Amino acid sequence: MPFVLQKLGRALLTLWAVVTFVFFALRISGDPVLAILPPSAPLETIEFYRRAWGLDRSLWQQYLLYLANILEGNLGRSFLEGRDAVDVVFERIPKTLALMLPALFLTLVIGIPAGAIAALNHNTPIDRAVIVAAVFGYSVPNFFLGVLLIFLFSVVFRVLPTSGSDTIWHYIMPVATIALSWVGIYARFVRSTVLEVLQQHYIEGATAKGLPWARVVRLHALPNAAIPVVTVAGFMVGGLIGGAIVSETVFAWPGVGQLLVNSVNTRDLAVVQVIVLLIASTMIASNLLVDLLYGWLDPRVRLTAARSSVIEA
Amino acid sequence: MTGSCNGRPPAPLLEVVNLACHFGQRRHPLAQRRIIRAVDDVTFTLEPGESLALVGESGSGKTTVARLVLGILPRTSGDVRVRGEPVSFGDETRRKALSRSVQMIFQNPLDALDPLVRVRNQIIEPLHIHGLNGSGGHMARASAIMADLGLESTLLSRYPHELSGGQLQRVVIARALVLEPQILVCDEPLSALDVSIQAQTIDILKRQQRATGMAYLFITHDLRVVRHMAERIAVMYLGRLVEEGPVETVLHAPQHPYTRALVASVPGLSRRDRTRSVPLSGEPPKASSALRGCRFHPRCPLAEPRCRAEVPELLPIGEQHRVSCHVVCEGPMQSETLPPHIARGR
Repeated sequence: MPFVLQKLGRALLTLWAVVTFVFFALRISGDPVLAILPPSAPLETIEFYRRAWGLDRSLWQQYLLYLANILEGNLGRSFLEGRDAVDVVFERIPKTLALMLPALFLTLVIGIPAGAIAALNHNTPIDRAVIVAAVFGYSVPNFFLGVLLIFLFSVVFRVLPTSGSDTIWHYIMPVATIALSWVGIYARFVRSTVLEVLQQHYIEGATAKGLPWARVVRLHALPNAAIPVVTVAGFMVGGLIGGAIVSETVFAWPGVGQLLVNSVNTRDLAVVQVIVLLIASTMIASNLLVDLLYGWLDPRVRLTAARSSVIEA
Repeated sequence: MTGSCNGRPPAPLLEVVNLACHFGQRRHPLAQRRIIRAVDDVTFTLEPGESLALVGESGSGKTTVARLVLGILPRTSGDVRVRGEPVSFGDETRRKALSRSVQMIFQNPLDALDPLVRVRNQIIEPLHIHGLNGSGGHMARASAIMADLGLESTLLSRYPHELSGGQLQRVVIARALVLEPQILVCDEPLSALDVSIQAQTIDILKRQQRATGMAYLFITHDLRVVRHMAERIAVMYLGRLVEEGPVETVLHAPQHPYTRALVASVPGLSRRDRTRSVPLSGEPPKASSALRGCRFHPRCPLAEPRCRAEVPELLPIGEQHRVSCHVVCEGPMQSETLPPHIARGR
């Protein structure tokens, strides 16, 4: 129990640090009123909005007020739309998840078998083909790949729409853009993990017991390799909401990532803060989840956790 | 146990004939393959109830020999036969059959056990693999072995990382013994253990051997352990056997210059003839094919021109005592025929 409490305490501390950093960084880097109003706006109008949005007070007063509001569950209003910032952000989440979940699914379904097969065929042409494809996948930048796909499939072949999110055809290029780099990273990670496990002496031991190779792999190699693989998958889940910023911008996809970029540009402070808080929370939550999963998967970690809680108690 | 007195004399329990295992190595993709001869032309036999110690520095190929005997590494040429049955790498059915007669214990017991599987399941797994978990006799024998090795049931439901080194090594031994093998390959089973646990483990191994008549192929770099564990010793240097014979003979009157240096380096081991031995200097070179003649000649105090040209054979020089050295087997050449730098060195 102290283990969980300690984790929660640390999570809250992280959230506070993130919120504080973003609060000051945004306010120091520019005036939202000047960003939103046209340059010709009269001074009285500017002063009016400053007072209306609470920007006339000192930075410290604004900060304390902001923290107090957060504790009350009030995360502020969007300057641009005048609506609750939380609503503005949350109505974008389904669109983002509609991109990210298929991408995550593809990553797991392609990346894990590709990496494992490469490792089990170490130093064969299969292995090398997987490595080459993986390195290509993650070394091509997202924004470049997105533009390349648009050029090929929208401009040259004219088979896919360039932007928007109306039909199933709109999903193909953004999902492919995100998935390609993820699959590359993940396949390489799975490969190196499986390779490392295969070199362990207990694999040799299992072989020496007379176990057929296929069962050595299934019973001893893959379960051991699964631990780090599951861990990294957990972190990917944590990055789902904030992970599509580049692709959403390239493909004009109306998700959270695009909203974040627009809101930073227009200094829509409350919206940016809500998004950052949301991304940080999902990251922290998935970290916690991974910790718990780890303890469940790996008896060695289970013991460490139990022992540390004994010392604390 | 079953095979030791069934009245079929011909084939030895374990027969290793001209065994070789070469690895290709490339410094970079365009370079020519450099052949590393990890094991080259190794021949020995092992009979029931016997212990053969295979000794040598790290890199001498002794662990590779162990893996070849177990059939978990492909060999380049030569033969390994268990009771006349050839051991092959690729054939899983045959390897499974072989694993009932040949088992292995490892240097580091923690590495040798799957960290995610409870200790009891790891000991019993070989019985599942061979479909013996239903047979009461084997299950009873497994429990007997665990009790015999002092593995209490409270230990058995734990995970490997929760046990001490000595307990883990007993788990590894128990796992090897449940199949009642005729040959136990021990790859440096003591070097990762505390001294007190070493003595305990030697004791366990000897007791089990007396009880079952197993043969041990005992791989070690520690000559003091050899004396306690084995009747015969085979010394390896860079993949080749340089000397083989009864432990007492080899340790008290080593013949090969390498064995002499090895024995002399352990205080209180040899009784006589330390005058001709010179301490070894430098590292052993890689066992690459570029090294011609006797593998030991670059470090050998007795080296002569023929040692650089011709690989010496393992020739008998006494009862069950074989040595692979031109100078020892055929006598030194006239010293005036030696080039000056070698004559000076003698």
